[in-house]
Amino acid sequence: MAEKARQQRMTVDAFIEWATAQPRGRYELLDGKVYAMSPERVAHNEAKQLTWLAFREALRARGLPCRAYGDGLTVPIDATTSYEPDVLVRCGEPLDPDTVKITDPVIVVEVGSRSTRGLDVGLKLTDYFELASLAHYLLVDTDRRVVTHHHRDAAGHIHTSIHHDGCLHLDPPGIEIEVAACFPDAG
Amino acid sequence: MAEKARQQGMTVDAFIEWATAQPRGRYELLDGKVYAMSPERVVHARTKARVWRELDRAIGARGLSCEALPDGLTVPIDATTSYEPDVLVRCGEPVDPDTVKITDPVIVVEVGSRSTRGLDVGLKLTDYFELASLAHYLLVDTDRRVVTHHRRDAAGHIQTSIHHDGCLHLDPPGIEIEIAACWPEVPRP
Repeated sequence: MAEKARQQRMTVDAFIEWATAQPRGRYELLDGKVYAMSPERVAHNEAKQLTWLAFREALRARGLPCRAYGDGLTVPIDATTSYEPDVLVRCGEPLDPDTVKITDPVIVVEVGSRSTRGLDVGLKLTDYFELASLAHYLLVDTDRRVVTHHHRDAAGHIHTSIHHDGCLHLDPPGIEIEVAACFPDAG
Repeated sequence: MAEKARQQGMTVDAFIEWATAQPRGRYELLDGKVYAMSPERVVHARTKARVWRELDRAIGARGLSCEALPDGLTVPIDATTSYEPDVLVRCGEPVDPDTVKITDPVIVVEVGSRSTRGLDVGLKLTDYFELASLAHYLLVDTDRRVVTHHRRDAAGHIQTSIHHDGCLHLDPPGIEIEIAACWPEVPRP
């Protein structure tokens, strides 16, 4: 019964077809069920933009064949789950400009606040690390101005570190970003 | 301005006084603001009970002077933030039976589902690790039947591991729990 119900849920392909036909709104798919993403608070929006900018500049400074993307793209996890990270970085051959799907991010960033409604960014950790390409999952916490860095090393071990300031070294792809650059100026 | 607003928020002590005077409901305090905890889904309640039972069993098996406690208690993080974990373990002298506040957990467990409304359990990680006593933060994921184990070692480094099955070794306090024991059996239709 449960298996049958699951089969009747929306697949990622059907979700993308449906979502791209909507006149407005952004969505995520979790276990075949669609979740609308709420309008963001200013703190979220600023942190997201600044984090994207920090990654873009860091990638350019190193001249790496990688790109930082803002939200709007969807990252499939399995046949019936697909998320939309706030920022992601992928490397390699440029993508088809018409694609909406990113399957091989090396870095995924979610900006969050403890009280924001939305899919729990902490529990997304296990899903994002299902992607073989993923080396870093960053949580940018607008409540505390702190970045949690989950780094999967070559042996598959995940190291978690909590950063209030200083530099974050992300290898691969071999870049450094300033933690302070991810947050709007206080005041 | 932000600092001033923060100073005017409810303190943990005022929160506890207020919350214990409520006839019903459970609450958490985040940066001086009160958040009501939603009624739980059955899968959450079943999982929470089983995790408590497994931790209680594991402590008993080793005869440790530790205690696994279910939710209902509050864990202060700072002057204006206090959370209520689903399960916690603390060791040492037993606490006063009248206290509602636990300040020295060695293990904190949050049971969650990606789509559940409530304070984000992933972002709570940095807050719980503000507690010097904390060695393990476990996220028990009812969507995927997976346990994420964040372990802080003696050097202060946090290692994260993802467990679908097998045994989880938690030291301190020196116990082993079975991942499979955390999940409710699927009731017959």
